[in-house]
Amino acid sequence: MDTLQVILSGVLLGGVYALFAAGLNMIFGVMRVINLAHGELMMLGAYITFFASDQAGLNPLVSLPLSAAALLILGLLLQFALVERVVNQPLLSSLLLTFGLSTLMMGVALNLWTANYRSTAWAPLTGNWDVFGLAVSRSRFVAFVIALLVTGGTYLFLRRSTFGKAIRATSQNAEVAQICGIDVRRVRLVTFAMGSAMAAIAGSLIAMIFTISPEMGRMFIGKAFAIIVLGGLGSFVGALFGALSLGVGETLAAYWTNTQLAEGVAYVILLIVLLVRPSGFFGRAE
Amino acid sequence: MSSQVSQIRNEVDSEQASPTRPMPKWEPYLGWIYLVILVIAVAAMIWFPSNASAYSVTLALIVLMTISLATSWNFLSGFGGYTSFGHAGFFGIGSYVGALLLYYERTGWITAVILSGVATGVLALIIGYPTLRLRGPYFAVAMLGFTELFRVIVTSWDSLTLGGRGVFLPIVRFQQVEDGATWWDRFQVQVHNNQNYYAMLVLAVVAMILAYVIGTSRLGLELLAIRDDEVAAQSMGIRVVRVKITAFALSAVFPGIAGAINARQVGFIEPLTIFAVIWSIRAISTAILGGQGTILGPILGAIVLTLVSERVWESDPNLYQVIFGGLIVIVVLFMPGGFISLLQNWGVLPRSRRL
Amino acid sequence: MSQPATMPTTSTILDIRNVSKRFGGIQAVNDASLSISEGIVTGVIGPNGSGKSTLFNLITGLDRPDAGDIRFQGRNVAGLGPDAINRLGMGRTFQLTRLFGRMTVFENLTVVSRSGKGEATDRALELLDSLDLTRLRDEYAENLSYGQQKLVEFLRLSMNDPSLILLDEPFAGVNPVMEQKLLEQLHAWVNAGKTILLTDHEMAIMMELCQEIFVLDYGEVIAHGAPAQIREDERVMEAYFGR
Repeated sequence: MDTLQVILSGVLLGGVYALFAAGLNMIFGVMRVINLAHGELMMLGAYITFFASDQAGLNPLVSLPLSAAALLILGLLLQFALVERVVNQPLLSSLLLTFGLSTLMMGVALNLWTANYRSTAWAPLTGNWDVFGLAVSRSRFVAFVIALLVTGGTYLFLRRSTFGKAIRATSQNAEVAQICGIDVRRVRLVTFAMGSAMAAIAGSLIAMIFTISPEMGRMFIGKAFAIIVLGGLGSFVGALFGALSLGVGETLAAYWTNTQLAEGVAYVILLIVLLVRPSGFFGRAE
Repeated sequence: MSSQVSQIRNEVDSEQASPTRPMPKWEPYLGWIYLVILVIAVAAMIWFPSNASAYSVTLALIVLMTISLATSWNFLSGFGGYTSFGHAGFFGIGSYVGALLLYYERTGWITAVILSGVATGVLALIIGYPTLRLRGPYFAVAMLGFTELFRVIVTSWDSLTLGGRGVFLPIVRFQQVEDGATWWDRFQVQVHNNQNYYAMLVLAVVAMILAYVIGTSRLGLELLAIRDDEVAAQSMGIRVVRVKITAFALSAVFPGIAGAINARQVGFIEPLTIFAVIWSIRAISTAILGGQGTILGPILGAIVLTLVSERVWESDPNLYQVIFGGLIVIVVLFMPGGFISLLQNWGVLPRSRRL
Repeated sequence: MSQPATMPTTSTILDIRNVSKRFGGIQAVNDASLSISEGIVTGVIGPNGSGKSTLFNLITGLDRPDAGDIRFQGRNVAGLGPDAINRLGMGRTFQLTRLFGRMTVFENLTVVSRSGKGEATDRALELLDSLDLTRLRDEYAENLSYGQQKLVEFLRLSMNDPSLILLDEPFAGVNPVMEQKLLEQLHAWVNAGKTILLTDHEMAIMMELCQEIFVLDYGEVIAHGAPAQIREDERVMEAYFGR
């Protein structure tokens, strides 16, 4: 029973991970940029929720759209001013650029908010619900549902809407998409903004469950990479599977050993997958 | 018909791009010029602690450490184009190998420091073989993963490493100069009292010499070819995996040794700070500011940036991170080749591989 | 089923047998067999998408065949890396030139050399001189014109004196004067006893240059033989014009 509970807990966490990884996946797919700053975008979302709760007493569910909106705008700005410039350069330029951004944002956050851990606790979400004898953490459950809704919504958007198709076309072959009349620049802008917003939402959800600090981005980016290589780049469903696996894997590891080691699960997965399949996952046309 | 042909022939001839500026006469002697400057600089650095405050010596030590980190990072990442976030990982492993050897009183400090470098070099060979089969960006992600993995392992294996509690090391006990001591005695005391500084000096000098050797050798050229077009390089018979692993292993030795010396200097290490990405940031930002893939670039970048930034580090460590992050962004966007490349574009410096 | 063609008196330097390669849903090369005779110029032609580039990549080690054998001078090379294959004596060019852009022409040549510095320098200068390109030696490769880049690619592959040379659309987008220079180099190679395997869309040149031609369509070898035979072959007509 205990193990089942732990697994369930892991699945719920996995949902949030999936949301985070999906944004990263999209950004890479559309513009071949490995966004090392994705974790910091999530961190900013988390802090918005924290401050909204701490200062204004807003419950996390209300501050969620706020954080999404704020990061949507930030994402647009970042893409417009900075990321767009390295899009047609070798991948290493964008790697360094986003690394610089990540460092910059983390530094700013550390400066403003110190390295102390913060937590939001909203009364209705503390504690567990009893579901068939299993204790289900309320905050995790709500986070899971929201994450799934947003991820699902994005998936539908990509599949059904016209702009979504434009995004997918650009992911597959930007040159051809452009020739077909798609405004790839706009696609890139929107994708990055969406990805940032998704990271922000994931961050806000994480703030509901865990304590946060300016350094949390670094931890989550590794998880996101592990998920993407596990599930296969560009595959939305694959990333979901990867995320759930990671969530369960981590929670089980934490249960059986300790939290420290559980942190390592993502990296172990990342490395094993990267090394066992040497042609690389991210290896669509180079 | 023949007039057409001669017209085209003229076109072909004039397709020549603007003529390259000829090399200045002193260019082939750069190696010798460097040697002279190095000897003078080293002599000055050896003399330095006799007339400087402890603070200045510490600052100089940090400059030397940054030179070692940046220069060695440049081997694989600058010349070869394989951006590595692994320097922090090797720095941490080196710190722990050195510190634990001393903590458990297994060897003298010099041996401990050297073994740290050996350990990280060997580690790089082991993890390099599988990871360097991946292309650049994926290698970068893998190294991010490895660095974090090392941290997790070191933190968890606390029976050996003392985990999160950290390792305390005894600080160097100062010797006093006795009355009537000779010049040589005084010098030996000075070296003893500043041993970490001198160790770092040796490391930095070795790093710089190795940078020159690699930069002017076939290995360096092969790395540049890999950076420009790895598939073409491989198709022309360049053993790319071998070249990359060599550069990687050589580059990993330096953060390992630097970490061990740093551990002694600071007297205390623990996983969170010693594996912190800041060590990679230091290496990367100084190297790219000076000029990736050049010999002098990382050296210049390290000197300039460290002197400027140590003030900031003291007053506000977090601001330091902001500045360095911002610097990386600016360099990538506006001067990807760093200072050296900028000066070359402006015609101030020649386009020499010896720079 | 295609049958390997052989010239009665010369030996086979490259033997490709029943090689197949699939990419996702597409069978790029389908049970193809080609026997390349030593010392002559062999051409591979076919409409776009017929698998020529894939075949080249399989031969030179950039890709691994799903099935079949590739034997170079009797040695099995399928599955070896491109560097190993190059070191066995195979050189190649690329459809879109792939020089080392931020290195000079001279460096582009010497970096691939497997001899010592002095020898490499001498050979590089000799090669540059042979095509009258010495004045370009210190130019950065990315600053060269397209035609000049093609020539330098030729020189680069010559540095290690390969026995088998693969040229991927060497005449694409090249003006007549440059074309002349490329042809001169080709003839020099043939006179030196090297084997050339090339693919191109310039039919006139292919027919004139090649002693033997293989025709690919949808990854299969549909015809082979002397240019005169190919010209008359119905299947070839159909492949190019029939659809």
